[in-house]
Formats: sequence, C-alpha cells, structure tokens
Amino acid sequence: MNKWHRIKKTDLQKYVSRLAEKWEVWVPRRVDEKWEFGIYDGAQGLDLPESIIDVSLKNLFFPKRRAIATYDENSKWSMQPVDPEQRPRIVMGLHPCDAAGIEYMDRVFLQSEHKDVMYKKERERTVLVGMLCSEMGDGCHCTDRGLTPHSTSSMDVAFVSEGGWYYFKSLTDKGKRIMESKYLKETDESPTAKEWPAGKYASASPEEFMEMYDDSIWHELSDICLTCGICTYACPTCVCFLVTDEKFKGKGERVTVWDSCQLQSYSRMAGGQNTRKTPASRVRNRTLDKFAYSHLRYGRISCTGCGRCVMVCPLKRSFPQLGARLSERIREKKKKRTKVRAESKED
Amino acid sequence: MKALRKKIRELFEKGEVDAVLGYREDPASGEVKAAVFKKDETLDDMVFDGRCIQNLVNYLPTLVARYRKVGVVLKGCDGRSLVTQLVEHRINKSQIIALGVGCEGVEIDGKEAEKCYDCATHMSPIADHEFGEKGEKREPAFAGVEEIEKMSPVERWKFFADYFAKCERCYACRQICPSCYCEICIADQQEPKWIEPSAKLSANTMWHLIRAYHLAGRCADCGECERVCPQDIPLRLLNNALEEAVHEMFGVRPGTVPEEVPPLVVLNKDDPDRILEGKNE
Repeated sequence: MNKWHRIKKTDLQKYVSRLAEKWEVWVPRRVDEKWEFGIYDGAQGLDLPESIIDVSLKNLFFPKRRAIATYDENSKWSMQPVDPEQRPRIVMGLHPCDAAGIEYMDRVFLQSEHKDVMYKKERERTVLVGMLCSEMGDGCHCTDRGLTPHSTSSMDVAFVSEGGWYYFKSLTDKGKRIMESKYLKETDESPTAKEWPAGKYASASPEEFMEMYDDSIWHELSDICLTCGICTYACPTCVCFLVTDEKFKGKGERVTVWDSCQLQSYSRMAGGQNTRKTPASRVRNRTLDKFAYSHLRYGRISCTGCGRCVMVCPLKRSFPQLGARLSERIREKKKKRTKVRAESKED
Repeated sequence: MKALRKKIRELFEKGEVDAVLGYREDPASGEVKAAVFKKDETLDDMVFDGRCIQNLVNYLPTLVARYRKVGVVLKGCDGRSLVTQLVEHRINKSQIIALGVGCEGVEIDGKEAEKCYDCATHMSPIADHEFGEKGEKREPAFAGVEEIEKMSPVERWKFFADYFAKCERCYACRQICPSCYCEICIADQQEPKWIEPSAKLSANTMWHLIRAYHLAGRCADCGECERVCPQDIPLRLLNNALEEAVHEMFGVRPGTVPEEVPPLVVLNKDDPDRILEGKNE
C-alpha cells in the first residue's frame, strides 16, 4: 500500500515547474471564461479548479482532427504514416469523471478487436495525475453512474485538497516516477474520507434499456432536440470518428475527424440510404449507446456523469433527466406487465 | 395570455387543431422550453413572455407530418420565419393555425436580445388570431453590420477569423435554422467534397460563408443561429449584411410580407443587374 504524501498548496507551483523541465505538463487553464487543458508555462500561474473543467480532455488522446498519414499526389507510393508524438507528458488536475472517460476509451481503442496505434502511443506517454473532487457541482451526477468524486480508476497519481495541503498518492509504477520530489513529504496522516449523496436520477439496467428500442417514447424524447452534434463533442466517452483526405495543391493528409451520431450525415451510406433519418432514431442511438450498447460491447455504461452535455446544449436539455424519464417508463411498463400476468393467473 | 389560452381551448374543442406548439414553463427548474400541447393536456403551464426566445417554426415540418392541424404561437420574428417556410412550400398553410402574439422583445440571460433592436415586426405578419399589442413597424438599423463595414478588409478578416477558428462544426446553427433544410447539406457531401469536415479555419470559414450565401434573401433574422452557437460566433452579422444587400437591390425584407416570393428565386425584368451595368465595383 502506497503512503500518502503531502505538499503545501503554496509549493505546488514550484513542484509543477520542476516537473515541467523534463515533462510536457498539461494543466487546466482559463481561456475565454472556460476551463480547458493547456500546456503549463510558468508565466500563467497555476490554478486547479475544484469544479468540472469545461472542455473534456478527450482531445488530448483522441484529437478532434488527427493526421494519420501524409501523401503527395505527384509521386507514386508516397503515403507515409505520421509518427506519433513521443515526449512524455503529465496531465494534471483531471477529475474522476474524466479519468473514467479515459478508462472507457481504453476499452474501445485498446481492449477491443481493433487497436488504435495512435491512441496507444498517447496513453503510453502520459501520466495521469487526477484531482479528487472536494464537492459535487450542480450538474455533477457521477454517483448515479457507479462512480464517486473520489474514484481513482485509470489514474496514475491521485491527489486531493485539504486545508492548506494537497495529499498525493501514487497508484501505479508510472505514477511513482513523478513522486520523487523534495516538496512532497511522506505523511502518516490521510485526507478525511467523505460520504457522498446517493444518485439523484432513477436508472434502469442496460438490459431493461434495450427493451425500450421499439418504444414510441423516442418521438416524445426527441421532440425538441435539434440533433446538432455538440453533446457528442463535449462527451468524454463519445469516440466516433470519420476518416477523410484533406489535400492542398497535391499534398495531402489522411485525417480522422470527430463525427457525431446526432448528425444526419453520420448514417448515410453509399447509394444514399440513411438508416437514421429521423431525429428520434438518432436520439435513441445516443441514449442507448450511453446506457446499454456500451455495456453490452465493452462491459461498462459509458456515461460518467460529468454533465457536460447539459452544459453545452443550446436548448439546455438535460440528458440525465432524459435517462430518468426513460427509466420511469420502463418501470411503468414492468408494472403493467406483472399486473397483466397476475390477472391472467387469476383467470 | 388569458385570451390566448381561451382561444386554444376553443380551437381544441371545435377540433380545429390537433396540437399546439407553444412555450411551457418547467415547474421544477422554472425554465421555459418549447412544448407540444395536446387536446386534454393542461394549458396552465403555457407561458408567453420575454423568456420565450426560441423560434418554434423549425419544429413545424415534423409536426405537420404527425398531426392533421397544428396551432403555433408566433412572435413577430417567428411569424417572418413562418412566411419564408410557406412561400418555399415547405409547409402548407392549410395545416397551420397561426396564433400571433404581440412581442415586446425577448431576453438572453436577462438582457434584451440584440435581434430585438433590429426587429421589423412585433406582430407576426401572418396570423389567424392576434393577441396583445401590435406594436409599431420600423426599419432595422443593423448597428453591428455598420461597425463591421467601417473596418478595413484586414481588420474585418481578423475579426471573423478569430471567431471562425473556434467553430466546432456541431451544426447547431444549421439544425435550428428553419431555412436550412437541404436533403443533403453541402457540408455533408463527400463527392465532391466542397467543405472539409474537420474543424479548422479554412473549412470553417467556407462553411459559414456558404451558409450565409444560401440564406441571402431567405433569412428572416430570427437570430436563432447566433443564440444556439456554443462558441458565440456572431452569425447574424453575416446574414444581416446580406439582408441589407438584398433589400437595397430588390427592396425586399424576407418574411415581412406574406406570399412574397424570395427575390433570388424569381427573375424580373426590372431586377438590378450590377454586373451587366458595370457597376460591380
């Protein structure tokens, strides 16, 4: 069992500056009133938000636009794979919901039948230093999704703020490498364990969600959805992409670009057929993917309860409430069925 | 509001509408959202005030496919939107009961929306039933466009490039726009690929400029594209500039006059032709 180490809050920046000499250090930064991850430079100072970071760190491992190969149309056989970045890096200040998102991406890109080489390299070069949350924000609902604000899955180092100190603990061998510092002192004390409120949204099981596939409720649920793609871009576990070529004056790149199942073009096939023409079918796809398909394919529901989809939605629709409404419907249906069964037994 | 509710109840009872599209206040959160009211549902939580900013016309094409007759609550700007849809034959007027409500301006985050300063019609230009004050008709000023036009081309490019670079290509602007309804959007075409799908400055600029041009003479300035943009790109500036140009050339403000066909889809012998007249410069 690794011991807790602690560092004075006032020393944290010195520690990070020292790390930044050898590593590429990514920390949350405020850009245009939004928190997002950026490379640490001493000039900007260091501020680690307790609340959720507006832009998820999905982009760091699975970028919005990623070149996978280059080519020159003027010379034959010129296609070359792009070398992934190798420089070791630290990502500091991510929260448990983000770490859970990475755990899910690992399942998709590393543990399924198709391995993503670029993603693997990004993961290998990264030490994840996660910040456990001291409190839950308004939109946070990780306790509904089998996590707590103190979950440490897929983190290499976890730390938590308490009083004037940050308590650090390494969880993997990779994490140990950044713990050797004069600022971090071993301590027998440990941060206080906390009780977290139970989930606020009712949630059915993945199998039960699957039974809702043919239900008419989807029309109702998608009534006011725009089916734009912003929730999927903000989601830490939405990992669909398309592959396309982008060229300029004969020189081109083959790139992967984020795609979204909420857009009509996503399901359009050769010949012009579209399997998900209606908004209802697209909303169904995303909802069931979060609550059911993901569990069936990768063994874990893919909503981590970060609440970003609600934050970015142009119409402020609440995805967790949508899930709760669906669960409610499932319960009603079940009740009806048992009632019918009981009555038929009486007959 | 009372008169509106009464009328809707009456319409339901007479069987003149099957559903009414309006605004509902969520009792739990106090948020106002678009909602479909059906015959036996309560109208008590139906509201109309400054919070009812959303343009409901975009939902009509799906609703008229599901219901025989649909009532819709319309602000002035939404009314203009409805007109643009009717003249393009996207919706049939026989399926619509337009409930025009006099609008005193709507709010974004507690502040009057910018589009309201430029509003040409406080009451829907097309309405089967009217409620509230009609308000005065006035000419839009488009102060934002004037500001932009004062800039040098370099400044102007920098101004827009900063915004376009932030675009995430979520297409919320397209999805909420009643006039953006191409079967296959130009941004989704693969062969030929007019616009690259990745979110980078060149492709984003292409996307926004093409969308603006496609809306020239059709945009009713409901301002929804700008409101829903997660990156707050000032999309109305582009549309308004083109609206001004269309007004100057053809004397038309889209949507303000029922049954007026968009100027760019008809050919009149009196149409100005600056290129042939050599006045393009």
